Amino acid sequence: MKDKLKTISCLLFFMFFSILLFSQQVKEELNIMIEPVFNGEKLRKGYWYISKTGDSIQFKKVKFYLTDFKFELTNNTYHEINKNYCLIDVFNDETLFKSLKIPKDKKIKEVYFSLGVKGSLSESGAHSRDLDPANGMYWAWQSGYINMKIEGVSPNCPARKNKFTFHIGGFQEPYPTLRKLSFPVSHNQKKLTLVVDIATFFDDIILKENHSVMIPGEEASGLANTSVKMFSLKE
Amino acid sequence: MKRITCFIGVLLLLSFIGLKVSSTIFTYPEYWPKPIYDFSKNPVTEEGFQLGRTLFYDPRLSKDNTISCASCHLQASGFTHIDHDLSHGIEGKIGTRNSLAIMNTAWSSSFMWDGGINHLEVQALAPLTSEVEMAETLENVVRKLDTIPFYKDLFYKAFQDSTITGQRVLLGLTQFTIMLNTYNSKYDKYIRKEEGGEFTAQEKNGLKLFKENCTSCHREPLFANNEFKNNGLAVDMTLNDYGRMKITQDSEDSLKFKVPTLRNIQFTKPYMHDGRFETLQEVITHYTNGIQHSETLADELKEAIVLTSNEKVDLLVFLHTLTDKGFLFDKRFSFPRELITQK
Repeated sequence: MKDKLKTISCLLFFMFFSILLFSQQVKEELNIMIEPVFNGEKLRKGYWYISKTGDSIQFKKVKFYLTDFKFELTNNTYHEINKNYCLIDVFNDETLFKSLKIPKDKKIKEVYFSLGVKGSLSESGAHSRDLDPANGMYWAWQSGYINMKIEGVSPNCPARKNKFTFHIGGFQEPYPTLRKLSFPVSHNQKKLTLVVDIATFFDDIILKENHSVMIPGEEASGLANTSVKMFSLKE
Repeated sequence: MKRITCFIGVLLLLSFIGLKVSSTIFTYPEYWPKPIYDFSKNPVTEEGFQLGRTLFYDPRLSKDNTISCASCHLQASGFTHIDHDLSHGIEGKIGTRNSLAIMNTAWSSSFMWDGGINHLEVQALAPLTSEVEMAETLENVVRKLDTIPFYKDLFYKAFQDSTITGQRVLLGLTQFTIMLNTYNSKYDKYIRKEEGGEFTAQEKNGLKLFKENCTSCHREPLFANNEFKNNGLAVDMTLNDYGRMKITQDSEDSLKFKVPTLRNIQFTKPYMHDGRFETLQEVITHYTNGIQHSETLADELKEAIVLTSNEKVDLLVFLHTLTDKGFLFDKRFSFPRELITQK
């Protein structure tokens, strides 16, 4: 009897849930492509690049979080994607393509998102999927997500094995490193391409002098500002 | 129409109740403050607790499979590293601080001597990844555990899913460490007016002295206050550890360290963040005669604490009433035999 009641109640629950789903707006897919480049050239592992300041650079790891996508529609309403945390690894193609659901028949005016993970998630313990600390994007000795990691080698870099290491993170005042970005969208409504030009990050960096940032603070906050400039929208 | 809505509502509720798997096994005395840890996202279950216990005692959590959490957190000493001023990790590497005791963690708002960790669930990442402790990565721990059928089973029991993830390793460990609660010492029985809690005149006087001199930081019933204080220790020039300042980068936090709990203090030696004092007598003498004055010295210690030698003994006798043998020898917290038999 109890089992029967449970089955019936579960069935009804799912029916109710389906009705709820169908009564929602009809959605369509929006594809977001992330295109990592260095001075406009596709970024590849094991290739050498030259920065504006003359450093030869080879990348080993470029990872960052893109979170909280939000769309402003032409009818002046906003469409938010809940719990949307994407860990982008520029050398893992699977992470460079995101498919999001947006309302059908509505035009997008502007796309909003954040570079980094919001502070509340750095204060609320262990999370799953892209936020799982096993991804190596969480600091062990001082709680908080690392919003972006850029690692590689350069002959000019005086550190051990010529390695440079930039771990940008920290959520507490006065040096939070989460940055909000937005781009106007005009033509293509089905596919947005976010170009990430890593060269920009090194425009003011001379690796001989500055090759390692691994704690929250003024320097990390400054580099977070620079990071924003790496992004542009290609329609 | 209303009736139908009502009916569906009731059924919905029933289906939710039906789906609820098990409730928490975490308990504490009703007169204690509410725990700080939010159990709603990680309710403690027997299965989760057993998973965490196995992980806690498993050396696979270290890079070379030689060291487990329990290596530096032994039950009989209140889950700290007895007789070691600084703890050692893999390959005999020595750390820079005395391992903290693990007790009543649900009431801690931050972890480590400098409070660098803000949540119990992510605390284990620090020893796990420290080069001088377990020197491993969480990613690799997941990879190692994933090859062991025994663990698949434990994770399934705990999370109704055998997929091992970093989050679940941390949540499992949390379910063990959050259960390490001690509230049945002689002192507790005295407070609850229970059998075995009758204080001698000496213990009573010790408690009185404690309330006069120590309780502002070591606050009852947890004997800690979730704050950071400079307790007047001279800087050890071989370590140059300035404590909380490293985390906040604020000079006002120079030389401040977490106020640790005094529960089971009789067995958690050596004492202080660098384990510089071997005995409780030395600790008490530090507070009466050894305070080094500096900019950030705790207000509570600016005026000298004066105790006669008899009073020192009484205070010491009182501190011994904070020992909870039931906790220190509770078999539920000890090494799980299955870890040897199951490979």
